Amino acid sequence: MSEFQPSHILRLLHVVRYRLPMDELSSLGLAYSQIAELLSLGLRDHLIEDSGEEGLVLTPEGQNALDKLIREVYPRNPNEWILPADQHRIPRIGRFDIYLPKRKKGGK
Amino acid sequence: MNNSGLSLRVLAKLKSIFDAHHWPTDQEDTFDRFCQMLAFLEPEEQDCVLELTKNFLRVDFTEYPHHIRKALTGIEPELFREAARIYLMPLRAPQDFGKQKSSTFVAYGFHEYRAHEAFAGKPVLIIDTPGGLPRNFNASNSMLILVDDFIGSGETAEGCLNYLREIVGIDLNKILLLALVVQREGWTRLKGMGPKLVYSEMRGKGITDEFQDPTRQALTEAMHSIEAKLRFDADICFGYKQCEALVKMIRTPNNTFPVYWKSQTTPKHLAPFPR
Repeated sequence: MSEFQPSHILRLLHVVRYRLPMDELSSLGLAYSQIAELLSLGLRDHLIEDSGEEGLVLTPEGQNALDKLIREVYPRNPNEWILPADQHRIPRIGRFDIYLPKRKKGGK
Repeated sequence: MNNSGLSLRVLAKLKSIFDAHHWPTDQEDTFDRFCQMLAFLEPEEQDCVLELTKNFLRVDFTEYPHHIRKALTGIEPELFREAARIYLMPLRAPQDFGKQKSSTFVAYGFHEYRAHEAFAGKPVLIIDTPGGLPRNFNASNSMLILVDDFIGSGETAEGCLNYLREIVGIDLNKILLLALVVQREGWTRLKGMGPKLVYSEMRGKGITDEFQDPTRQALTEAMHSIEAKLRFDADICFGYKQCEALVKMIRTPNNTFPVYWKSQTTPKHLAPFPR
């Protein structure tokens, strides 16, 4: 799974573990084909398996990988089950800069 | 992308089907278009499309030579034994004579096979329209091969044969139909008209012929639901002439279920194999 970033792998395992919608992966900018490839790798590396009635679930190896990646990627909050929404972060600006959010259409 | 109705499990199933077919997922956007199509459907409708896609035949232009050679092996050795000359023409409806159709591409491909053993060493002359046939065709020891990549309902072929018989005056027993892929329904329609028929692949109706009840009934209901949701015109529902084809050639025939090829703007539906 080396061609994908650790954050992608973490997010996949997290989605499977907590049965979250696929939006959690597509919001990272991944196309369907990329998500499918990521999923294939997860199945191939036995981190994920199809349990039949219950659908896709993490294997024990997958759960270990999830715990390890959370500690690596988010060392400040490894025990939280809600992952930071990195895709919504804005770039850090200078202390005395003025932040002006983009005006939404029709908004004030 | 709107993936509100697409689960990882469905994505995994689709990937598995693509892998089984050896269809690429990363070199073209077909896989993503499939996903966008499935995301719009309910779970039982997704299951229907996935089940049918397992049996989908996709023939890219690089595979045409393979299917031409395979079709040629179906020609009986004695068919051309007495022939002095063989004419080969693209199969088209009379109103399309002279136009560039997929059959024109197939006929052009036969330039490479004029020396094939199926032709028993006889000269093969590739013509574009019936005007290329000699006036004494019936009396001469000549044969005519009509070629096309796909025969669906047989309507186009029937129109062409009727024109050749009634307007040009050709004896249909001196004609061989050669198609790369043929729907069984079209073959049944044509076989009583006189010409012999050879092909590379024969296909049945995707739901009616391939499944038994109750699965057949469930798939039928799901497809009706899909086509109503996507607001397809009645004449193409279940494919033109209800052929229920699951085939894509260079161009997807309209005999194929329209969910695979008919894009819509309202509701927004991007077909995986647009025509």
